[in-house]
Amino acid sequence: MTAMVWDVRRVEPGEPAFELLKKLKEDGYNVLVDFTAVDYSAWGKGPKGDETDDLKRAVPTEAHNLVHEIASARGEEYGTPHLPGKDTLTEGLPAPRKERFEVVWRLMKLDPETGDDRGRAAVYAAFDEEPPVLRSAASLWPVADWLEREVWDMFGIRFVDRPDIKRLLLYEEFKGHPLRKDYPITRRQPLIGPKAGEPAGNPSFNHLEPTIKYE
Amino acid sequence: MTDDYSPAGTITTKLEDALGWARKYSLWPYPFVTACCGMEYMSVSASHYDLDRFGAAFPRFSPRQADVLMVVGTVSHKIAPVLRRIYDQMASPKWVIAFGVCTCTGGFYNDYSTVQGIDTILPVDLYIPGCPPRPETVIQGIMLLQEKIQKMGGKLG
Repeated sequence: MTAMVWDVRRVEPGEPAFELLKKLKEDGYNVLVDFTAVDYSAWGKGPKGDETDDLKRAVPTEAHNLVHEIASARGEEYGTPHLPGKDTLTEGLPAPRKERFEVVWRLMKLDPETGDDRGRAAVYAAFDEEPPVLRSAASLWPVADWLEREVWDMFGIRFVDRPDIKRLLLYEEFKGHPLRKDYPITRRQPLIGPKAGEPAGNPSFNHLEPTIKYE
Repeated sequence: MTDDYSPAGTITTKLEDALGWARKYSLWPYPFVTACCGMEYMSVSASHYDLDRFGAAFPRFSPRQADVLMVVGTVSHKIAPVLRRIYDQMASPKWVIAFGVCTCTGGFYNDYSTVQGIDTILPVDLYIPGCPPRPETVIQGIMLLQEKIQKMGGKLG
């Protein structure tokens, strides 16, 4: 078996991307394996201010100090506690990107007779949020319908020809898009039960509100 | 239970104890299976571990016929109202088992989508920890629940 070679393309979003996808479909890429997105807004920027402090605090741990104590009791040297500065936390990081989002379509040539994998392609397109530029690929591969709904649900990426796109996985009451880097990691939006951020010791924590609507 | 004055072949007991005894050996669980713990639930209710020994292996797929709600697997915020509604549809006496660490506390899913323990949306009688729990843990849990039901006697859940 030979190693799989990906036909990787980078393309402008919008019409050029759609034309390329259409051409690849005609070339025999009959399966859309996956369509997903990446939010690059935190890319190459290193840890945030408070995270840097956390990392600094985390380095001289108790175990580290214990090793020091043992070493000094035995009259040995065991280096010095290493406190990384801001520079050491950001060096070696990739350069920040100009565009915030990147989407990727992963395609496959599936032999309908034998089920063999006849080749793969990946199409990348980078763009900013405003204005919406992407075109829906659901007319080429019907499975793109749900994948685009998931990308909208998780990243808030819009499609010019799907103005009334609906969430796929989360509930309609959910505010925001959880896989965006600016979605607060601790934000909770429960439908019933305790409200987000309420301490478990509060008397109302286990209070059940009759929020279920019976017809 | 018996004494020298009772006729042969009879036992006497309190009505409370008899009710508790009857209830604890006729548990009809409703399996609310949402995730990988379901595999372990199947394993424990199949012939090898055989929950039938405890009178607790007759799954009813209608909440109206069940008296034990087994919540097996991660509960998301989206399905939480459904779970609560199923609990409300069950007739008393009823008991709830939180099966696996996700139902007990949310487990390692401390994120935007997961309920941090089903006891935040409905009362829970028994927590079975584990990711997923071993069948032995589940069996011990069932036995503890039976003990609890026996002690409750005739009281409604």
